[in-house]
Parts: sequence; structure tokens; C-alpha cells
Amino acid sequence: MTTTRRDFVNNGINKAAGLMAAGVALSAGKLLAEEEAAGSTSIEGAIDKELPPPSAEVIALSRTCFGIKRQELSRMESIGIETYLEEQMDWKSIDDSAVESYLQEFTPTIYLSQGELIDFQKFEVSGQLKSATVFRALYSRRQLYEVMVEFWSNHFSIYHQDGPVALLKTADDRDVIRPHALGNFKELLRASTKSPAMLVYLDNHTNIAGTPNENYARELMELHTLGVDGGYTEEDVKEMSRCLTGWSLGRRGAERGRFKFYPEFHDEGEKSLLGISLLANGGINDGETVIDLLAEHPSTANFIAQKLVRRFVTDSPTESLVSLVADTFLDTGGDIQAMLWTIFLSDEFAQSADEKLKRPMEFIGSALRGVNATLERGSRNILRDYLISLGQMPFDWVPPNGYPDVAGYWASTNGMLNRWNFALALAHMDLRGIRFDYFSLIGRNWRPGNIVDALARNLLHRELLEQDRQMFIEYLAPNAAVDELLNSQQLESRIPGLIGLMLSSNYFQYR
Amino acid sequence: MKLSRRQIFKLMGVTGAAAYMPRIVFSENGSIATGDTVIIIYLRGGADALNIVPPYGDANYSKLRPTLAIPSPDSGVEGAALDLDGFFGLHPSMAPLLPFYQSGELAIIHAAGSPNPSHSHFESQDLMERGLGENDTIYTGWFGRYLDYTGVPEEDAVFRAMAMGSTAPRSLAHSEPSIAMNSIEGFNLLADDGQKAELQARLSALFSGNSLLDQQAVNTLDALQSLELADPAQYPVENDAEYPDTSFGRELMEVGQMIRAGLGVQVAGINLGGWDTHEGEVATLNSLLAEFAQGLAAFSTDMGEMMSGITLVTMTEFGRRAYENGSGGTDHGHASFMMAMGRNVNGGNVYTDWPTLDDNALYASGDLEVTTDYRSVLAELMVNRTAGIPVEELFPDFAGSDFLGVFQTG
Repeated sequence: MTTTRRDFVNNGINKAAGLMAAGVALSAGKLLAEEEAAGSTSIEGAIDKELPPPSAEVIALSRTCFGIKRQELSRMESIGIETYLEEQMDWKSIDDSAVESYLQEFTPTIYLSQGELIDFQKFEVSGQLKSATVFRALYSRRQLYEVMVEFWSNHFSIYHQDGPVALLKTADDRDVIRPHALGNFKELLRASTKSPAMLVYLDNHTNIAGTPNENYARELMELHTLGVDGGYTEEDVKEMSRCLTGWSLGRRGAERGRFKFYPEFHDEGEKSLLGISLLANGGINDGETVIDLLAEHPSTANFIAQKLVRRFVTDSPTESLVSLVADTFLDTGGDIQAMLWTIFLSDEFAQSADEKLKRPMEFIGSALRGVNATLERGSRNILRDYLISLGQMPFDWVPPNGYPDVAGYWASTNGMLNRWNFALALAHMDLRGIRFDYFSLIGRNWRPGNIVDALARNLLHRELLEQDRQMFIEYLAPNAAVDELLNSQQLESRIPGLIGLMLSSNYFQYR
Repeated sequence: MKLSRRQIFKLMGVTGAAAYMPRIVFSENGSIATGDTVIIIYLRGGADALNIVPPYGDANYSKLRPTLAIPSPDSGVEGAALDLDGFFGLHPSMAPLLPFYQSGELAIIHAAGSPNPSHSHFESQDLMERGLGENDTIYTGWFGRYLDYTGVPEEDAVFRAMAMGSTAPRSLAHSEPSIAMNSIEGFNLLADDGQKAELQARLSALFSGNSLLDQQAVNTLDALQSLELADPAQYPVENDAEYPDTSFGRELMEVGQMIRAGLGVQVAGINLGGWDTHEGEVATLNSLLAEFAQGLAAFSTDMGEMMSGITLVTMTEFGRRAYENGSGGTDHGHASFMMAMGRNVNGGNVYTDWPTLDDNALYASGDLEVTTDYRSVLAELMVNRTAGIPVEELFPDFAGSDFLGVFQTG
């Protein structure tokens, strides 16, 4: 057998996947090319499509949470996908007090006002927000809500370690992203444009009449609303930056660290951009008018729709689904729940098994949630270390485009290795402060075949190819018959490795 | 295709480093040609050529940048430029590189960049790493196309294209996966020695498909094995080189170790971010350039004689606006600079067709004009320093141009 992967590639069987495999790496993620490349590649056409697909419930749940818990899957199976997702959409009705009281005790700074935060150390404030974010992903019962918080935190990405941002992002998370994560895009955008963390991160706090700073104005159009092909010009960027002169934050007293408009630094001249003209002396209305225009723009609808479809369905969004979601955006004035329903009720969603690779947060979350791990406080460092090696610590993406959400970026050699190491260490209880009970996962019938089937059901939530099932059985009990009862000593020596392998396998890498 | 390099390795009885000859490239027809190992350093964020290699001799420079301009070398003030040729200077934090410029191992190309007018970081980086002027349906990286063009025996390819970091840059994208590793030490399967071989065999059986994930998994397993055999961490830093104590410094050092270990590295990609100086540019460049310059100087010192087989090139997506903004910084501009370093470089020269900073010479509404297409420099690099590839294959939408003479031939 001398066929190499290159032969396959040259035969054109999987050329595109190979290209993407080589990695897409901009220190940035979303790019035209990346989307289009994803379109020509994705994981489609690969042999993975021949893995027995998981059920519609598994797909729906896995896409809308940070990892399937068995009892949640059972609940979805009993009440139905739609009813389950309706509950999740109505996030305020879901009691999450256990999580909140934990956070009040251990990450109290996430509840403090901007004025109170000023007196804290940056690392303390940013560290607590990171911890709270990971904790909520792992434990919140409002999983869809947390998924959308994560989505918008990346859409309006702010780098945590950019000087004073460490003290400001906490309020952005709490007062900008969270109130609107399942609300209305226009409201969310309006809030973000007055977010001190955003204005500082993208330098608009120093954008003043006469010598404008274009940084925020450009990214507002390129990344937050219209998209790079959304039809704006370099002149529009300049005019937009003029509109936003004087949008900054207070420097002292009660105003300190809060949004403040400085009329004396605002460019009061006439402006013309994106097909409209603004009269002189518009003050803060200049910016507000244009921001509303951006929020309602068809290019924005299309751009947001594309990103949502990429998040929930596929690396290579189809024109048809994107335009359906964009229509929903325009019809509802940017209603986020309505857009999500358009996606969740589509055939493409139900049929998109293995189209989305878990990113590190989802991989770690789904492993911990899947085995029902208990985390002691000491586990914080180990989780931090793995999120860093895997490259997805919340709020630590430096450029303003947010963590990528395509397999071509995350399926790297570094990514594979660190996934395996996390899986193996978790399974062997080698992660400090993290424990779980594997007896609850392997069932009561301790024959090799039954144990492998129980783990496939309870942990992977899907059927195995027979060849892989046999391989797992052989690993579990190299010298035993398939139907021989194993004793606890045999289990102890082989079950951790088996669970580690299963969590490392391709069966567990997709969401 | 499951008979991977790893297995071929074993069949051939190949063990460890001795099997590799880093400068040998097998071209498609089986003939052997030589080529340098290429290190691509990408300065992400749009580096400000006008303050890194200040054109102090251009009268408009200090006028456009009343608070930011680097003073001319003869000004006698603190923070003055280090003179290069009577017109251009180096930012004082670039001092560690001055000896290399003077000894002819460092060349600078000024007013270089992409003709594409985009001022978006993401679009510009992406196009540049794909080696395109306009968006197109070609998704390989510019260096990746060279790798595909030459082709090498499968078993030699594991570390052919590598990057330090959690993912490999698109410039390397080709028909095979590239290696991305955070660090040499961290690239290790954490399992008991007794279990490693079995786990690797099981993983290999599990990832036996042909999906993206399968490919990366197989490549990871190959890389683990090769790395263990070659043990690059055993090679100490030489010639008293002092790398900056930062991840950039460590990454350069480790690329050096990988090359020394004979792992067949043909290209390595390293990123250095932080160049988007819209604000507070003086402080940012003071420290960032020190790290950058110290890193390159240390690498070149460390590798010593081996720099006759290594060529290093730096690039960035665009430069900054010619005039400063009101925030002590500069907004996105057009042309920037490139550098080439190594013993095969015709250094000691600033290569440029200087467009000047005259008002009517500025691009669009105030940027330094691009007079050297970045692809002209890269094309010369590939033609003169590698086994070669027709320029039209390398850069399909580049009309080509005369080479500047940055790289020695042969």
C-alpha cells in the first residue's frame, strides 16, 4: 500500500481540505478568503461524513450549549427540540441562582460598578471576569444564552490586556453584551458604541476634531456592521471617524470610566457618508444617526446572518440560508431570537452533522460536562493553562475580529495534541482538582462490548463504526472475550485510557 | 495512504536526525537542487516603516510628524536615528541590527507593500499571505505553492513547513498540513512511557479517514515521533547569542534548534504582533522594536555559519499614514518596509525607489506610495535562494518586475 495523502490530494479527492489543513492563520480569523476557502473545503466530502451521524437532538443540543450533559439530552428527547429551545430562549425564566451565588462569592468584581472597579488591580478584575465566563460556560443552566454571550463577545471582540481595558471590560460584558445577547442587534450595537472598553480598545477616546483617529470608525463598519465587502469607501471611514469625534469616557469623579461625549472635541462640520449628508453642528447626533443607519443596513443584515450561520450550522454558509436569516434580520429590525429560530428550524441545521469543529472552549466544556466532573477551586489554573495552550482564553484574542470559528483555524497539530493531552489527563484524573466518577458512565454490565457501547451512548452520544467499536473493545480488554465479565482491577487499569481515547477521537471533536 | 511517513520511516530503518539534509530539495523530476531554509517573520498590525526606517533626509518627514518624527542622526538629541546611508536611518531601538546592516547581512526594502488599496488588517494580511494583489479563488499560501510545486518524498515532509504558535500562517498553506507548535517542550504526548506507543497506535487507527481532522491527527503523530527521535532541545544556543526573554525570542531560538536538529525545515513562520500604533506610538515602538531587533540579531548570531543556508524575511500588511493623528499615533496607510537577513543577502543597502513624502506624491489621501511590490522581493527570494518556481506560478496575478538584487544568486 503505497498511496500517500498527496496522491489523494492530487487526485482531487480532498484537495481543499488539505489546503485548509495547512492552517489559516492570520492572527485574525474571519476573512473573505477564509470563508470562501471554507466553502470550497469544509469537512464535507471527507470520510468523517461516514461516521454514523448523531441524532437531530444531539446536533441541536450540542450546537446550543458548551457541551452535552446526559440529563439535558434526555430532557430534550422527551419534550422535543423546539420546546427545549423555547425554554432556552426565555433565558430570564431559567433559574441560575446557584451559579450566580457562587460567582458572587468567588468573582465579586464582576458585580461592581465602574467607579468601584477603579481601585482594583487589573489582573484581579480581568482574572475574575475570565473565571466567571468559564464557570458560566460550564455550569450555567442558560446555555444558549451563554453561547450567544460568547458569540457577541467575539463579534464585538475586546482584548483584555490592552491597558485600562482590563478594568473596563467587566462593565462591557455585564452592561453591553449580556443584556442584549438574545435581544435586539440595534440595541446591542448602540450599547457597544458607548462602551468605554470598546472606545479605549479601538482608540476612539482619543479621536478628536481636526486630527481624527480612524481606528474605531473603520472596525465599526468592517467588523461590527457592514463587513469588509459591505459597500463603504475609505472616504466613508474618514467621515465616520469625524462623526465619532468626542465619543470618549469621563476622566474624573462620578464620570470616571463611563461614556462621555465631549462637544468641545467634536467635529461640528458638515459630513457626508454612506449616501447621507449630515448638517453642521450635529453634536452627538452625528454618530447616533449613522450608527442607526449601520444597524439597519442590508449589508449588516447579511454580515450578521453569515456569522450566525457559521456559528450554528457550517463553516461554509450557503447563500440560501444566509439570505433567509438576513431577511429575518430586516423584517424584525434585528431581532436576535428570530434569526436564531430561522436557523434552528431550517433543514440545513438538522442535516449538518459534523460540520462544526468544537473550538477549545467547547471541547474542554463538553469533556467536563460530559463526564460530569466536579471542579475544586484549585482546578482554575489547570483550565487556564489548557485554554492558553489551545489558544482560546476568553477575551485574549488580540485583534478586533474575535476568535475564528472555522475548522481550518482550530484543526492544527498543536490543537490536536493539546486536545489529546487534556482528554488523557482528565480521564486519568491527572488534572489537579478535577474528578469524576467513571462508574456512572460505563453502565452496570461490565462486559467489554457493553462498556464500550455504554460509553459511546453516554459520552459520545452517537454510534460507532464497527471497526472503531472493535478497536475500543480490544483496547479495553486485550486478552478477554467480548462477553467476558471484567473485574474491577481490569476496569481500573483500562477504563481511564479508554475514556481518554474516546474523548480524543474524531467522534468527540464536533459540535 | 494510511501507510504514513511514520511507517515508511520504520521500513526504511531511518532513525533520527542523520536522515535529513536541510538544504536538499527534491524537485518533481527527481533532480536535486539546493535551497535555503526560509524564515518568514510577519509583523501583524501594520508596522510603521516611516518611524522604523525613518527617511530623515526627506524634508517633509518631520513636518508631517511634528511629535513623532525620529530626529536625524546629526541632531545630537536623545532618540536620534542611527544613520544608514545619509537619507534613511534606523529607529534607535533597532541598534542591535546595525552591525548586520554594516556587515552586509541585512538589507532593507523601503516603500514596499501590496498594491491592493485595502486598509483592513484582515483582508490585507490574507491577500498578502496568499500572494495575491486582488481577491481570487486561490487559497494556497505563496510559500505553500512553492512547496506543492517542488514536491518532496512523503517521508521527508513532516517538518517541511512549520510555525511557532497555535496555528500555521496561511502563507504556508499547501496540499499537506503544516506543523504548528507552541513550543518544542510542549509538543509531547503526556502519557506514561509504557503507554505512549499503544496510545499512538490507537489514535492512528481512529484517525484513519481523510478529513481535515484525520490529516492533522496523522501529521501530529508523525511529528511527535520525529521530534522525539531528533530531540532538538539538546542543541544549546551558540556564540553567546542573547535572545529577548519573550515568546518571540523563544520561538526564534526554537526554530534554530529545529533547523540544527536536521528536521528538514524548509520554511518557518513566526508572528510578531502589536504594530497597530493608532495611539501612543513612541512607547510601543521603543519596546517592540527592541524585542524585534534583539531577536533577529540573536538568531543570526546563534546560527552563525549556518546563516549561509538560512534566509530570513520580514513583512507586514501595510504601513501607516504619512502624517500623525491626534493620539500620538498613526492610522492605517499604504507602503511599509521589508527586511532580508542572512549571508546570502546583498545587505548594507536600503533598496527603494523613494516616492517622497511630497504632498502630491502621497497615495490616496496621505499614505506613502508603494513603489516596490512585495512580490517582487519574494519572487527574487524564491528564484535566487530556493530550488525555484516560475514567478507566474508563485504569484499568478503579479505581472513581474526586474529584481532589485537583494539576494545573491546560486
